[in-house]
Amino acid sequence: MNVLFDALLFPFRRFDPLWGLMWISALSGIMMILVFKKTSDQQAISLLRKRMGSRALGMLLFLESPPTVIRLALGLIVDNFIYLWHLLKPMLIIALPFVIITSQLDARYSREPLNAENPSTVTVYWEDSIPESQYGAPEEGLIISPIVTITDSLEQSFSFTGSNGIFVHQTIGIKLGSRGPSGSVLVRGAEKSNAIQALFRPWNANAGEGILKINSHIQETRYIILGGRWSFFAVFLVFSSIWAILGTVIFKVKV
Amino acid sequence: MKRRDFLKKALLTPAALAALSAGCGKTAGVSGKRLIVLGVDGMDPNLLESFVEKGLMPNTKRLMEMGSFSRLGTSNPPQSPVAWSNFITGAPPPVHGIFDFIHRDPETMRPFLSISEVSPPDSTLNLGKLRLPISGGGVDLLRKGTPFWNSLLQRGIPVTMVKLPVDFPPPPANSHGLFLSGLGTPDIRGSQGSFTFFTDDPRAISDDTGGGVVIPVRDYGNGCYTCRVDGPANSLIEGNPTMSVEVKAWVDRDSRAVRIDMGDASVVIGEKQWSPWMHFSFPALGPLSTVHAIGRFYLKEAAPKLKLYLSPLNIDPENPALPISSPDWYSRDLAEDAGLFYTQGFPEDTKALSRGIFNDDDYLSQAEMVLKERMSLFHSVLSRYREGLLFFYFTSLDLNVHMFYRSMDPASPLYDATESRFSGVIADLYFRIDIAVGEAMELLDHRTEIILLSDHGFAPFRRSFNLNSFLAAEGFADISSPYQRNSDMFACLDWSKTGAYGLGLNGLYINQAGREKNGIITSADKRSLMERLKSSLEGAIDPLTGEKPVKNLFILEDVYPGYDMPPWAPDMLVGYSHGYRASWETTLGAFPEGVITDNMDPWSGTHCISPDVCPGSLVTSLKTIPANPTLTEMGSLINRILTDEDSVL
Repeated sequence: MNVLFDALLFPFRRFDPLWGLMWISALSGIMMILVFKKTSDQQAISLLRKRMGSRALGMLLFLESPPTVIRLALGLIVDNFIYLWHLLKPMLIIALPFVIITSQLDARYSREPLNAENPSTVTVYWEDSIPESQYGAPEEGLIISPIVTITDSLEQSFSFTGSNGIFVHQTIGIKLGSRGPSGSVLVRGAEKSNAIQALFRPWNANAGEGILKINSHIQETRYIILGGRWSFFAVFLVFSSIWAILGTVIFKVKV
Repeated sequence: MKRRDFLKKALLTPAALAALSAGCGKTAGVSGKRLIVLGVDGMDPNLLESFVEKGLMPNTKRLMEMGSFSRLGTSNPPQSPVAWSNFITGAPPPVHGIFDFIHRDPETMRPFLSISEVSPPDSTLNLGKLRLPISGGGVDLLRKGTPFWNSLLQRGIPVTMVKLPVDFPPPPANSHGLFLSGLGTPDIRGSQGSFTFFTDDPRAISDDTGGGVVIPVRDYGNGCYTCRVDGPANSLIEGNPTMSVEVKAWVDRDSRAVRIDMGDASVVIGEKQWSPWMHFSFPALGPLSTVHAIGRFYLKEAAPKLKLYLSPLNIDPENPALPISSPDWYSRDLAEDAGLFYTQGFPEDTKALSRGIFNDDDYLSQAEMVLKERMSLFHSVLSRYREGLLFFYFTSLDLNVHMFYRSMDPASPLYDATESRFSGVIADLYFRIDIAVGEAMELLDHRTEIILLSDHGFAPFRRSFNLNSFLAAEGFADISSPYQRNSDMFACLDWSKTGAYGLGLNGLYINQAGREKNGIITSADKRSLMERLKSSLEGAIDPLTGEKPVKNLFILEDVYPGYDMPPWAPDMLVGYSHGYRASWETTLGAFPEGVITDNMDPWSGTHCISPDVCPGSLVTSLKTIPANPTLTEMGSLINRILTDEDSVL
């Protein structure tokens, strides 16, 4: 999946992160609205909307007749449920790529590049005991702190950073791509599979033998838009929605 | 009109108006000249010449050769707030109202910082314990007078002033101006920088709160210390309780490191390491109102005792609780580009060194960090500079020369105790400033000029002069409670028998009837008392060296004739001789034993002396500069350069 998205997002690596994210959001919004068009019963939705409109108009016209208004209102409620039923299938189909895209964008656009002023702190929680010499001293000085061991709670923590935001270390095999020419932030494990490397996978899977869980924290990126500080998710949600709405007009999609 | 034609006109008209407007602005006074002013606090002309001769400052040498070099007349007294106010307003202290770092209210005899003041709201809405401000309140700049850049802004000439001293809070937003406050900007608690030191070492715990507080903490056996970090007072709650956040420090004594947990943030640092800037949030009114600050931890020692230093909590430039820039987005913009930075006016923690919380290495590691930050800020600002005036202020040289003058002064009482490896610290600082000069010089062209200037020079601070003790010994002040000699604010004095008192670094005041709370000297007797004080102080001799500690005693009305003095102005200014300065104790109204003592504080360089002893420096790319230039004239020189009025030169 990572390789697939590396290829798909390759054209956007040229852009500044904010612009890259906005273009991806725009394309995602349009793609989602097209998928919606393909997977939904457009004719049924169109008829339903007309019917709902006529019921609403009827309520306004027959205000002096409460039984009629109640009948039309009940019909409107039923129509709403039918409308939701029509939306269910396309929404379920859209939800899967939406989650995948969001996760992939999260791995690339949500975090600040690592540097001395923005290190990541990793805490490993062990199940039963803390093995000795689990982490050797790094060769290239990328771990910027000693390892703190908290015996009572079976925790070990250290902080590390990278050089210019990009970080490759052979001994423990961590690879971090970050905001560079691509304009993205990528936090991911390297090819080797041992405990330390795995925690940098976006989904923190395969923590390794004897490890209960691993927490790592890298500062979130905030995008400045109209004076506000937006998370990557806010940018994605807002701009994909805007383009999805525009897509309904351009492609004449009934929603 | 066709629709297409209408759209074309609609698009073109605003563009045409904008172009016309820009063109009008240009003819109204923009000369097209550019000027970069590097304000280097405390750059001494003698040291500068010495380092240039030694080849340590090749860029500055080149600038001197292409333009000019001169000593620059400083203010009286030669203190940074006074000197930079002279620079900003082009006027002396009676006009801008800044006479010292510290002033006093003669009616209450309470001291206050001279640069800015925070005033509480005039009226509040009380809801239970809540105190919601309705009107008034805020931060006010106490510097008066008209800044020299106002006329530039009026002509539409862009002005960028970064880390400008004595400019907190910054001026109102102007479409041509960018301002970031410098010296005088407080930390989040409102002080000029108050560190917090967490330790379980009983020897380090004291009641002294000068420059910061030592907080005792305890490990209950699991290696975890709970540290309470105090923020500002919460003015929205009755009684103004102090807001605080809890930080947990997990110590690993084997690896000599600590993990610091605060909210979601966590960082691990080893001994002698600094954390990155950490964000502190103090909820004033739940989620509705939060005060943001930033601070850095430094692990001085993990074992056998924990010694964890926390820098003064700075106003967060990305989310400032008080106005530090104009427009308000400017500090955030700079932080986004150059990274977070110290916003307090005095970033180097000299107090931590003076109090022994830091040793020389600890202090220098912090000073290096500050300088790197400042350089990063400089690069960011320089890379965006296009037009008009750019002023950038460096503070590192001043504060570090204050602390390390002893390393190059064999006559300093601390010279032998200072390791020889620190002897190059000051030269290195000048070298670093020279790099900045070189970077600015890369922008030199036919329409760009550079001015490198300092507010004052430097002299050694070998001997402390207890001015108040001298006044008491000579009968100008009467001590009625000798056991309170070391208490601040004249606690030991009998005001009914006191004619004069010293406060601040150079100020000497007459206890004047009708002005001072307990004044006894009438206006008729004031002049003669001042004459007697002048004679007495200028005649004093240091029994150890045989030198005169006071070179000049300036009577203010003689130095600045014709001005109406504000009530907080001192009556006289003590111009100390080379090697002498007011003791720390006397500056806050204490009367320690002995009049002249060795200065055993690492703060070993000074400029709070007679102004003729410590002039500033002026290096420019201009071939012609005014004769005997003074800091006060620099504003008008800048105006003339940028408005192309070279003929005036």
